[in-house]
Amino acid sequence: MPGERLLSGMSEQHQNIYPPPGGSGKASETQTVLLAQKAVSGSSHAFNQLADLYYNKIFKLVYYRIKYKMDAEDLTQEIFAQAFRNLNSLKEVEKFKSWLFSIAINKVKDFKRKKQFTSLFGILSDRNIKDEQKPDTEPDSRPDANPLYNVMRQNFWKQFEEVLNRLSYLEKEVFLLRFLDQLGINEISVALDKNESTVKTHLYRALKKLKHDDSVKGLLKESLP
Amino acid sequence: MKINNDSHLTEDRIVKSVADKSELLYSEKEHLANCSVCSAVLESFENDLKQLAEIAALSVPSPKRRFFAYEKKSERNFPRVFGLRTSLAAAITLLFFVITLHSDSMKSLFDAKTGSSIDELHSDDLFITEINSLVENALPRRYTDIYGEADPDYDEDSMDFIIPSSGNDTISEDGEGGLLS
Repeated sequence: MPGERLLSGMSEQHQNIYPPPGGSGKASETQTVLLAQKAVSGSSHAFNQLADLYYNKIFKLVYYRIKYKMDAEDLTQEIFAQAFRNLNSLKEVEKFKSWLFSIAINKVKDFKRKKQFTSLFGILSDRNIKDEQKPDTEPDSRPDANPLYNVMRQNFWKQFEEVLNRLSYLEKEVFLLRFLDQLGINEISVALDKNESTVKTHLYRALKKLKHDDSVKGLLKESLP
Repeated sequence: MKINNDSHLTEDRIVKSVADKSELLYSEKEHLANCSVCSAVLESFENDLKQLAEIAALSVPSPKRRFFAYEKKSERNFPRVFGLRTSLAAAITLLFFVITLHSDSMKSLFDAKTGSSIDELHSDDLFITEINSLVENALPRRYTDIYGEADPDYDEDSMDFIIPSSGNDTISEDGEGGLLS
């Protein structure tokens, strides 16, 4: 199957499970605010509904940054546990999404710092450092994920990482939050605790670098059918 | 930067527009709406980014777990000043003291200790009385019986008779220092 590409490696049904980003809408925002209000007033049931609503988004956010499924699963659990414990610190329920994303970003940052520290002293317990540096090699367990898809997925993340490595930390973070995590400028500024003009400046710099980067075009050419 | 309808938007302005559409001036927005070249450049860049996001989203494996929060009723209904463990340890210690202080065995232990100390005090009194009487009368009564004076106020003569004074001692003639009785 020489012409098969990453998108065509997945079935139609699979693509429906993971709809294209940006499909949340106003109704979802209203639902989030209502559930957040209930959760803050002590309803664990409401928080569980919020967790169901945002679990995939947060898991993706973590995976985009660490690219290792097992760690992403653990971190996602920790992020929701921390959010549940600190619900009292959420002052404006309207900003629940940004607040949750800021917890996630800080958790990922802590994880990376810890990983760097442990690799510095060679104290990795269950995996060796070589494995840590590679993107996720575990094949996707979904029934419709064929072996070629798994190979292409690994290849995509490798190339994507190379593209992102040309950006500074903040440029990368703002770019990922805006285009992959589908957050608005205002939400990004709350999540990163930076003012909006700083966010716009970093986003502009990141886009300018990527526009001139031929590897982005190459990456898209290889991945699309 | 776009000056009039004849000049196209610069690459910088296109990138600015992708970052945030509100950054564009009114005239630039107007030009974008009418200029097919500029809108095609903008659309192409936006499409690239959209496709990149879609591929990335599809390349994420599916998570196997879901989060479930449990409500801790005891924590919510009972405001805790100290930690649960500290409170429990304090309660157990208090209970232990109450039980030990009010138990029969502890009471009997205290009673036994008090009784024995009273006995000791009584025997001490008797002993002191005996000592005092001995100070008063150094010789036991039977010695006074021997020399026929039940009365301890003896006279000098009788004492000289029983224990002669050193002035009456006679040195023996052989000079060996022996006492002649």
